[in-house]
Parts: sequence; structure tokens; C-alpha cells
Amino acid sequence: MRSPSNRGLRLIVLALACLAAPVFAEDGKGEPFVVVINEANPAKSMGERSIAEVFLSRHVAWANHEPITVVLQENDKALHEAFCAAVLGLTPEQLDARFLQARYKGAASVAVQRVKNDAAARAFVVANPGAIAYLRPGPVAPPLKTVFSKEKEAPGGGGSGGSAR
Amino acid sequence: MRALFVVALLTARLALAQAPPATGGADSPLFSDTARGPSADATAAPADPLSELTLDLGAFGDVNGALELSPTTRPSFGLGIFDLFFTSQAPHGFSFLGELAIEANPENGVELDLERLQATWRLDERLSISLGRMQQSLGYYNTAYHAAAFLMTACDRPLIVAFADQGGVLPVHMVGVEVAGEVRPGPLTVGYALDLANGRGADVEEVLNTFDTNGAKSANLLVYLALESLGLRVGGNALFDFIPADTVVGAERPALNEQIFGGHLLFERRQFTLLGEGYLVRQWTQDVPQSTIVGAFVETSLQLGLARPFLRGELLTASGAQSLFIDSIATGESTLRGLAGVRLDLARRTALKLQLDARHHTVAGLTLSARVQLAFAF
Repeated sequence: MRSPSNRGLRLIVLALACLAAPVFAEDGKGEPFVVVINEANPAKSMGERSIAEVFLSRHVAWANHEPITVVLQENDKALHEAFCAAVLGLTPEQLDARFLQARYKGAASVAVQRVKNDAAARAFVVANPGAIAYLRPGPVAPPLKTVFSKEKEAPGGGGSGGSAR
Repeated sequence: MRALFVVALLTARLALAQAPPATGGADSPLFSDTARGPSADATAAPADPLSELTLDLGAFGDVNGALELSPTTRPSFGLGIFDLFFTSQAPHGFSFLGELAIEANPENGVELDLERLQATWRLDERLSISLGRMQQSLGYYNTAYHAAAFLMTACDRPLIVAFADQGGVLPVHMVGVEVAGEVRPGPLTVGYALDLANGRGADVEEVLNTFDTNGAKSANLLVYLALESLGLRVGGNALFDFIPADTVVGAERPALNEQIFGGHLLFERRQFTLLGEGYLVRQWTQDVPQSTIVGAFVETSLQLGLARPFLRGELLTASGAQSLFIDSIATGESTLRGLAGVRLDLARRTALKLQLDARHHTVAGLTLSARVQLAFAF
């Protein structure tokens, strides 16, 4: 017969295993996406780290001194989660908390624009030379340009990762 | 001395200005340190200096219900803190911040506190200088969450970082100057904050807002290292102060030396967060033996959809001689506290928290309580 303490220990081990699974799961699985900017922006390509620095407010202006505005598609949950996980290593809630914390600290921060869908994101970047947005993959034509592309994970988890174009 | 300080600042600015800017891996720099203001646009109308100023208003609030399992206390509803903060970005790297906390007090009244009033000049992420009343850069919790219940996972602050009017032992606010920044050699982030302030007043709840009552300034240095790819941050801080004597009749006390050493660890990866902090507070003079207060907490949580279950363990203990300054804990006393609860993000910027609190005090014994909190931000 199992003692209550043994049962408690097994429960604790099970809980810890449940905790560990998502913590050490591979980042970046999920929807493919592209990152676009306005063609007036002098940046030609961007790596994941540069994009993360933008969305985490490490920089507030592009090289041409244009203020940065990041465009979020929170309505498209799968896309938003995939972008947050793959590029920022965060959950959407953690990203929102980071924006709120930066604002609370009074730190210099990028402007944030929340839009309903891909079309609205494209329209915003076209109208705002300092904007940067992530979109579902599709044709990107001037005055937009793609600076980063995250392709779909291959079945079995051997994802092809991201690339700057 | 003043000239030396000015020369040091100018040297730092020149050195940082000559360092290569962040490129983000591209051939040419992707970013600049300053954003173009409206008047810098060649097509814009003649510059109006006020048009370059922004004003952003934000607020945090929380309302609570508490039930203590004790015959002497009644179930109660209560207000938390209504925190209003104003920020403004001005040209040339300047920014301003004001924060007012409207707080319910133990006398069933409401009081207004000026939490922060600061002006900051920022070169870039590597260097910023702030002047005014600020949050002391102690560990992680104090500056990351401070009075914003919505940002906290649990309903309230850990005992060791509690506000002074709630029995806290650390100087969580300060009036002075702070030099802070972050540098990123490779994947590592090295952050620092150096606070030079008026320091403690004669009373533990007193913040020296208008003038210092002794010549000595408090000095606090926080340094941390972060590996963002792992979601890991480790840091430590050391604070040195000289607490003025208390001359109030009946409460006389000599001046005291104070040292505070702290360490913190934050592991935040995907949905999982683990935060631990510990502090050692020592006070003494030549004639008064040393008192020591040790406080620590570990908080862990896991985001599961809208729910974030959390656990927190805390310890606060006093040893050595009785502190002549901090009266919320007597020497030989200790408090062990365990929290378990869940935070539910009901909607954007609206969180409902349910928390069970078990507290064991060496004199008061065990107390159990439950708390529900609705925290919000807008």
C-alpha cells in the first residue's frame, strides 16, 4: 500500500514534469510569417535579433531618425503567438506586460499600433514610413518590402527557421 | 569634486558617442539614438517647441476582498492603490515622469502620495541620467512592479520589498540622481544603475523629499547580467547609507550606519517564470551593536491559457541587536509565509487573482487568509 507521502511525492514529480515540458520546448513552432517595412526605410534586411530589439523598444528610431512604430496583429492569435515565440521568445501576455512596464518606467519606447488583420497592417506600413509589421506570407510589393521571412515548420519538427531577404 | 563629475560625464558621453551603434547584423546601421521630431521634417510647418512634447497618461488600480480565518477579524472589501502616471517624451533625449498613488490606509481613509517625479536625459540604452524622486534600483521586483498590482502575479508585494508604511524594511524610494543603462556584448546584457540620494530620514517611513538632514548621501549600485536567449537574469546590489539621529523626545536614537546587500535571479522562459530575491540589512554604530534583518522570497508561475497559477515562499527574520530604526520586526522574530493562487486574465488589462496566504510568525503563530483581487490597467 502506498503511503500518503509517496503519493504526494509522485504528484510533485508529475507537476514538475508538466512545468518543464513547455519551458524547454523548442521556440518558434507554428505559423509562418514575413516581416515588412516601408520601402522608404533604408534597412535592407533584418535578423531575428534586430527585429526583437525593435519590438522590445531597445531602439526607438531607424537610421534615418524616423520614429519606429511596431504593428501588432493580436486578433490573429495564431500569427501573433508564432511571431512572439519565434522572434521574441515571449508569450503575447509577456509582450503586453513589457510594453506596459516600459510605459510605467517612463522609458523611451517605440509606438505601438494594433490592427485587425493583414490588410490593415499593410495599409498602416504603407502610410507610415517608420512602421514595421509581421504578416502572413503572401505577395509583398512596393511600397512595402520584406526584411525577414519565417517559413513553415517541416513535419517532424525539423523547421527551416528564419531568413533575411 | 563637481568639476570632476562634469568631466566624467562629458568623457562618458564622448566615449559612447564614438562607439559603433547597433547594427542588428546588417551592413549599415539600422537604428539611430534619436527620433526625428515633427519640426525636423523639412515639409513641416515652422517649429512650435510644444509640438514636440508628448503626454501619455496611464493608470493602475486594484480592488480587493479579504477573509482572514481568525475570530478577531471580519471578512472585508478594500481598495488597493489607484496609481496615476504621466510620461512625456521631449526632444534631445529628455523625458519626464510623474506618478501619484491614491491609496487606502489602515484608518479606512484615503491618502495621496507622490510616488515619483523625475526628469531623465537618455543618450541611448547605454546611458541615462535621472533626477528627482524615483524607485530605488533594488533587485528586480521593486522597479518592475512597484505600485502596479496589475503587473504583479500575486495580489501583493513580498514582505521584504513591502512599502515602509506596510512594515517594509528597504528604502524603496529615493530622492536624488540615478545613472543607469545597459550594454550588450554579444548575447549577454550587462545592466547597471547607480543611485546617489538623500538616503533615509530619521523615521523609517520618511523619504527626504525637500532637503537632506545630514551631509552624507546614500549610494546604491545595482549590476545585473542577462542572457535573453535563455530568459535568465542574475544581479546584485549594494547600498550604503548613514541614517540621521532621531531627536524626537521619547524616541531618541543615535545616528546609524546602514548597509544593504541584495541578490536576485529571474528565469522567464515561455510561459514559465521563476523570480527569487534576497536581502541582508545591517545597521550599527560604534556604540550600538549590529542588527541584522534577512528577507527573501521565491515566486514561480506558469501561464496556462488565461490562467497563471502561482506559488510564493517568503522568509523575514531579525537577529543580533534590536534595530533602533526598523520597528516592524523585533530581534529574534521571524515570519515564514507561503502563498498559492491563480491569476486569471479575464480580458485585456483586467486580471482576477485568487490567493491563499499562510503566515507563521514566531510570536503571533499561524494565520491563514484568502484574498480575491481585481487588478486593471488603462
